[in-house]
Amino acid sequence: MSARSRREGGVASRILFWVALVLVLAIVAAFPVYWMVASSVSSASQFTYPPQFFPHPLDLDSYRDALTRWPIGRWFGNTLVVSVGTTLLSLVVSVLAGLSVSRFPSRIGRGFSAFVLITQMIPATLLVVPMYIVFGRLGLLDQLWGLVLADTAFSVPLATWMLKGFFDSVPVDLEEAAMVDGCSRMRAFARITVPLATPGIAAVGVFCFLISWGEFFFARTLVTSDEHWVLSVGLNSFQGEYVTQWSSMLAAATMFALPPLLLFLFAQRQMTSGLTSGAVKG
Amino acid sequence: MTGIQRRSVLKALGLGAGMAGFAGMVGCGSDSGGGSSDPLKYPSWMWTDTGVNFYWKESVTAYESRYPGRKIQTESIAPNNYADQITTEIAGGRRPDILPIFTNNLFSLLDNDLLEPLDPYLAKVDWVEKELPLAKVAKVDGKQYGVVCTASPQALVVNKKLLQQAGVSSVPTTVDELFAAAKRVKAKTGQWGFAFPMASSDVQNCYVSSMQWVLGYGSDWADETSRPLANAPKTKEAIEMMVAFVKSGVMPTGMKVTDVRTLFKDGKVAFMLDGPFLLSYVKNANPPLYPMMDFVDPPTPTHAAITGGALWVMLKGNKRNDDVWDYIAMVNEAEWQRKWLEETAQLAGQNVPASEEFLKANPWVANMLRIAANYQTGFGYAPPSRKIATYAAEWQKQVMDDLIPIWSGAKPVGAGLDQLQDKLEKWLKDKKIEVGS
Amino acid sequence: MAPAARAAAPRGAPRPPRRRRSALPVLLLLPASTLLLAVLVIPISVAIYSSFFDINILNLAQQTFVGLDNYRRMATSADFWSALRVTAIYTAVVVAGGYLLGLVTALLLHRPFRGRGVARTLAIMPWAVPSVVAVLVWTWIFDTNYGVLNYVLRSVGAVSKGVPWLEHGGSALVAVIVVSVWSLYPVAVTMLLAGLQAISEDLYEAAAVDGAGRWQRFRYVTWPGLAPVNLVLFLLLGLLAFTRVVTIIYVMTGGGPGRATETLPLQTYLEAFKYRELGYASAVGTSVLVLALLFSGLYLRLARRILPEARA
Repeated sequence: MSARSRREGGVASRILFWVALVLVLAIVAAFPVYWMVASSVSSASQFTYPPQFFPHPLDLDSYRDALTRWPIGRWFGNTLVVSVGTTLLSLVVSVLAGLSVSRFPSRIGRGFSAFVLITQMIPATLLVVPMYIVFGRLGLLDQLWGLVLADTAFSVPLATWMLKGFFDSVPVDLEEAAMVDGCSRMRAFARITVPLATPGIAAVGVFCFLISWGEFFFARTLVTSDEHWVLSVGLNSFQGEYVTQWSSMLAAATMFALPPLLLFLFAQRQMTSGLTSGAVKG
Repeated sequence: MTGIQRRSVLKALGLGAGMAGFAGMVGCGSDSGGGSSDPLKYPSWMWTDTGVNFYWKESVTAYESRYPGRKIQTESIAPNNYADQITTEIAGGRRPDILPIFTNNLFSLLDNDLLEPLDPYLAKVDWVEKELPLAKVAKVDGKQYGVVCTASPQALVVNKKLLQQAGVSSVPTTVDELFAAAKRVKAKTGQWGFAFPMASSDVQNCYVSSMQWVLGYGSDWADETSRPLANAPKTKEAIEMMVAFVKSGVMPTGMKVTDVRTLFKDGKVAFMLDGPFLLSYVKNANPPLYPMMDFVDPPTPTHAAITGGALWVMLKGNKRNDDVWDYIAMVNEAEWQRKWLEETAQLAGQNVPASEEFLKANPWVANMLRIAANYQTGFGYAPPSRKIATYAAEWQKQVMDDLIPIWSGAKPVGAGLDQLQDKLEKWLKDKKIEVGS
Repeated sequence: MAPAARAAAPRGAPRPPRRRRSALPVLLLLPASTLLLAVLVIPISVAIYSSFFDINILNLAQQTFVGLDNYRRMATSADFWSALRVTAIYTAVVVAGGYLLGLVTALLLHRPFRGRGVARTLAIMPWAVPSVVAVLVWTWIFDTNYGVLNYVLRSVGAVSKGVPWLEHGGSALVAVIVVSVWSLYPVAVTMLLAGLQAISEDLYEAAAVDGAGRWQRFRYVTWPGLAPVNLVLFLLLGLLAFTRVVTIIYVMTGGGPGRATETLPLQTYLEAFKYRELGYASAVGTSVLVLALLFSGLYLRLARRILPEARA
């Protein structure tokens, strides 16, 4: 910032800035998360009025209850399998596609981009029944791998688009230099382009992980038996026919939301800087 | 093709083949039929409810040890997703084996010719006459398509502790008394006097609570000839009463039934029209309150005790139906029936007497048995017309789409019910259901 | 693609055609294309195909061809037009709200300050919260009697008694929109932050030298500089709100009260499962797809005219 703009800033706008920041961030973004966590360790019932903003005393019973009465460990395991599987598969598929679209601009490439854009317009609800039937025929129902395939299909379009941006920012000259030295194109990709785009690839990986971790709609339909339940479906089951176990549900919800939040915390720098190139290069 | 390109082709083909391969591998191991060594698929909404799930789990263990070599694979489906999920599974060819259903799912399955008549199996057992009246609903064209799983009537659940605190001396027996008592509780103790669910995401339970009043005043949303009665005088009276409760401030508004029950369990509501599962819930989750609770006749003019009920059915053409019947027969043995009544405090499918000690420890159960004998109605949470009952879920939604705005005051009762009547008549025409047959 | 080799060859001389056209670009696209084809395109084609039939979801074998009947019924159905209206309002407000909130947040987070990392994480956090969890907490926040929101509103005197958020159509739609904006705005923050970082500082310096004030700097440097990002962002937010966000509405209000929050994608689901009319549901769903295609097409054409240098 130049001295001039700093002078133009002044004290008033400084205060306004901070107030706006606190408002936007703390309350809008973080409050619901805070509320969930605080309520899960509060001994007060969910239906107390006035609501207790600062839980006191702290009470971890709901966590104990949730962990002993519900197979949360199993749900965690299943969700992990699905999310990691989706991330790996999406990355492999999208890296290849992204390389193609980035390095070989052609009618085919543009056709693929258009095709991918169109898949983004498909309403999920239209897809549910036929997907269930098709997966049934392929024997993919009630298998975690079926869900991996579905989630991969959902994340590949955006992932490819983002990866294209990252690959675009890696100069082609480096590959061409390697090819002059006798490398094949694919080898050049593997040795040079992909390693240089690693931060971007990591960012896209986190993105794919997030999409499949929280996915509920298709998880509920495609994976039904108890031992294959993922966290989103498990959490929904706390709403029973007769009663909803609120405190245990909030504890489970907190545990469910924790891994993506933590992952996000560590990877957010990558994601924002990574997505920089993706967004700007178009 | 140059060496470079050949290698790239091979790599891409390899990847494609790999994907196809693993899809194939995954595909190989499963088919949607039921081979005799495959486990029996047993979906239910009751696997996660802590008031009842232990009973069903014990039944699975007992079945597997009685018939070694047979395995059961349970599937938990949240109750509000249940019909959707079973529909999806049948549509996709992965049909369940042991299948409990809510009463109002019966007709849609029956009309699509999906159910096996159970008469040949029933001829082999001796408990058929002991079955509750709900069984009649499942008898169509002389054939019996369902066995009663459970059929608990809803009635007035009372928190006597709050009554004492508010100085209400006796349990209400008329609507006016109920209203007065509710207002008094609210005024004297600050707790809610009454509650019923009003959340639009909870269609069925809202419809059930509307039935408690509409049938309680002697009407229904439609009669057996499929004629809608939305703006019939008694229906109007019932709805006006419900709106009066909402407006009076004695109720928490806009809640789902599960949350209302939680409030009750926390001792924050004096009266509710609900089923015995509420008492079991309190017994488990808030034991000190349990002895202070009671279960009495609904104070409405007809004392209608709405009973949803669940049935066991069998899917037509299922290869494992004999094994499925063995399970149904097992849980219908006298010992299992009594166990259900005494351990979950809900009505079993058959009329079983409870033991003396059980009745002494849980005096309200005698009330429940009496109410069930005299006032059970509203089976399947749908009007008594078979044709409408086939579309029960849709019917409920059609009614609630208009009723919730009436309850919350967005529409006046008279005009709102007239609109609903027109809408229902049009809906029946669209569905080609003849009124008055 | 290999004209050079052929042009150089003298006429008549036998020379094997040198194929420069590599199969690599196509092969690299193969895994993605196969996956999307199998998992998305084939089921969608089945769905679109079924929109011309009358199918009961419980009895798939019995399909009667009805041609355009489902579409005719849809066009004359009051529920369809009401859902279309709700979808339009919902999409427009979610996109506008998400964008504005995202822009304000991005502008605030753009300049370095102490604790920016933490602030940035907090701002983007809603996106990492699974939607089932989000709806759970927000539904409780909006509860008429026990919700935090009403408590705060009553405490500051904005209202005298609790607002029945989810009980009335209009306020329920507001509630659903709020939750959707909360979930989606981090997407806008992320992309706008990236876009802001790409605008060269020199442009700001030059503007300052020319005496431009804060608002003018925004209008003449920031806004045009964000054009390529905005182009994509609006489309992305629009598509997400229009076709994807069903879980939130379904779990929070089920489309009620009185269908006030029933969007077209949700109606597709309800028609298939509650009403068991698979053919009609497919017609509604297909119309969503067609509308999305139309609007995207129009949007891109318009955008290209306004911003010739930006590509999608």
